[in-house]
Amino acid sequence: MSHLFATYGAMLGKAILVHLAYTVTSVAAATAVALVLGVLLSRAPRLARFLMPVISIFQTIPGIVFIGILFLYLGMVPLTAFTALAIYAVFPILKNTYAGLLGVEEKYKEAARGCGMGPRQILFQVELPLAMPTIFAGIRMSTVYTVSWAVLTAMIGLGGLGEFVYRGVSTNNSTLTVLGAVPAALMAVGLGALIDLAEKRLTPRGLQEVKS
Amino acid sequence: MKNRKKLLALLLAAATAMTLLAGCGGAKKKDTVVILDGEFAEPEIVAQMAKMLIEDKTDLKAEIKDAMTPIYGFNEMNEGKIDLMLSYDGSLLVTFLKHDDAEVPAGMSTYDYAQQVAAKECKVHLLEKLGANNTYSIAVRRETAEKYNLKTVSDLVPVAGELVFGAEHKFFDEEGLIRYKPLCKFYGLTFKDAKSIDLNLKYSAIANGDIDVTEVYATDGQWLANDLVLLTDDKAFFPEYNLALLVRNDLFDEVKDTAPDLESVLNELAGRFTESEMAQLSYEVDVNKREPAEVAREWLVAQGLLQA
Amino acid sequence: MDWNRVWEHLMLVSIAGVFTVVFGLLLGFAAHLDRRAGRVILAVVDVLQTIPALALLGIIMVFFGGSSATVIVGLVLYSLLPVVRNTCTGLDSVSPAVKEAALGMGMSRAARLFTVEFPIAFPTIFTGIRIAVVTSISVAVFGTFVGGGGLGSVIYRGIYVQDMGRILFGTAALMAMAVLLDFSMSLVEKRLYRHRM
Repeated sequence: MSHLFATYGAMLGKAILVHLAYTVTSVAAATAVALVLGVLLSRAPRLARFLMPVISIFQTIPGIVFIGILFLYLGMVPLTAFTALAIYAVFPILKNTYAGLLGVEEKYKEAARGCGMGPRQILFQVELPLAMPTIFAGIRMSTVYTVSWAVLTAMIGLGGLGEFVYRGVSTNNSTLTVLGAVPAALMAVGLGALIDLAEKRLTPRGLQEVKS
Repeated sequence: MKNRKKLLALLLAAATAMTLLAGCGGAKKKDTVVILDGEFAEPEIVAQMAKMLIEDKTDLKAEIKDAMTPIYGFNEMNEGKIDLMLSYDGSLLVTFLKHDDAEVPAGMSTYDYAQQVAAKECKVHLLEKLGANNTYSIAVRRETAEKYNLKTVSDLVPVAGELVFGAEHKFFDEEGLIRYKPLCKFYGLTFKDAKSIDLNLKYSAIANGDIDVTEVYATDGQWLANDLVLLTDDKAFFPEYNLALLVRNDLFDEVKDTAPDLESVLNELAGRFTESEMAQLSYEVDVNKREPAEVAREWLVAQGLLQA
Repeated sequence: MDWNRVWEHLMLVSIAGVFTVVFGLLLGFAAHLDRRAGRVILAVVDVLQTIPALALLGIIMVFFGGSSATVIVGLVLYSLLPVVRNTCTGLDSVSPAVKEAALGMGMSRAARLFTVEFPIAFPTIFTGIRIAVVTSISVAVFGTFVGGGGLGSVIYRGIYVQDMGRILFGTAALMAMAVLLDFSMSLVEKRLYRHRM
């Protein structure tokens, strides 16, 4: 066991950091983009009704395609990994932002209008907070999937926990595979918990549900 | 109480279903030769050739199993689950059986020594050599070779600190002898950085300038296409890797009723390849994007081993 | 173009789908019937989906070798979460009033479960199955790395020989498969449900 850490310890630490960096930056960028697009789409129902199914279909494109294509055009640079993962991470968040905003009951919006709130105020003080749970569910899903697909950054030589998985698979050494898999799983669980925490902090107290 | 009973019944049903799933796979009479597909063009092509020869000249069928790393193939062959795959005497001796190439007695070839060790330590052996030696080579882009005047691997030592080394994940295995760290130790190389990348993508990487030095297989068509220069292994770090089919010892016995001549059929490929010929075949697949099966068939027909 | 890869992929997803439904329903029912077991089951399937797919397949490969069996087992484990969770939630959300009415009619626990609760929970359960199948189309792409074939091989080869056409073919096939499977499942759902409400 100690031999394992002596040989691979530093490498594993570096891989975890690289993997975390790609995941966090991609999801952060994706969230920003998806929120904006989601809000815009919720304001354009006819366009949305056409676009949303298309987006659902695009969600089935596996991350490897983005990574592969961008690798061919951009090369082996971190930008490739970041862009590919970010594009892929947008879809779940976008879908959920749109669904969440649309799910806000009209009565709340009417009440806000009755209070004299302008459209922007309604968006930020009524709609978004009410859509929070759904949006966060989307961010959570996106994060878990991104940690999964970030395993492929090793395929294009950009490091990350995938390096252990690949090495393990190509040398038929399951210890290495597990050494890559376990931290990745823990990372996904950990990031998920952080997102849950963020959700609790950002949701106004009045809207917080008592979770059983 | 009733809930628990229901729960138990459900879990029992699940367990039964799972065992049925696992037990799916009975024994059948040996009528199919299981060939492991390759991870890159060369073994893919030879696997197809073996399949075509088997099906054309014997009553057996041949099935090509999806590619897995050769070490996996070796393990599976020893367990009797795979029958045949393309391999190399150096791989058998060094990678699979984990011996040092330096052990080969003076005057004896790597091939003969590998067979000798294999007979004692595992359940597979090599068929006759196919003719080409696909050993490792260190390669750089033409401009890099010209810039630093590189002809041998030793020439890299003074400039290694400015260059990035890249190779497939397998080459960075900490447990192997013919790998990155032993190579650097042997020659005294300290590269600026080392990146591990997918086997087939490393050529894009070196062409792009993302990596400067890589390790290639001598008969790989892709280094030709990318205008790389091979550096001479002046201190002889890399052993020989003569192509030969690796076969499970019991295979020929098991099929002797249906195909008593299987061994000679497979040995029809022996001695027919040169490095450049093999490289050309790989080139067709990797660069001209043709299917391995098509390239294999074409070659077999040209050699007169198969009817058109 | 590699149509047998498309077929391979479809087979992987379909076979895995059948087992996902069987195990997912069984586990979902178990989780609904026993609170404590339910918590454990749900936690386990949640973790399974959190493990990166390629890593999960790599671990399964230790037991099943490099073959389509590994991919199928991996797909099943990975797809359990939506089915189990939706089965459990669906059954949980059947209103007590309905359950009492069934009890009042003299139904046994088992009869009530299968003839009353399950049909009511069906839409939710079926949504879970749909999500599981469509996701597994994507995940099955990893199969190429563990000897399971499928469209992953097409895409991967397209990347390394730099053949955009192949990449697009593989991707288009995946998307088409997702649309078709999702659509046909919605048809199945409508038919199964037609005579209910």
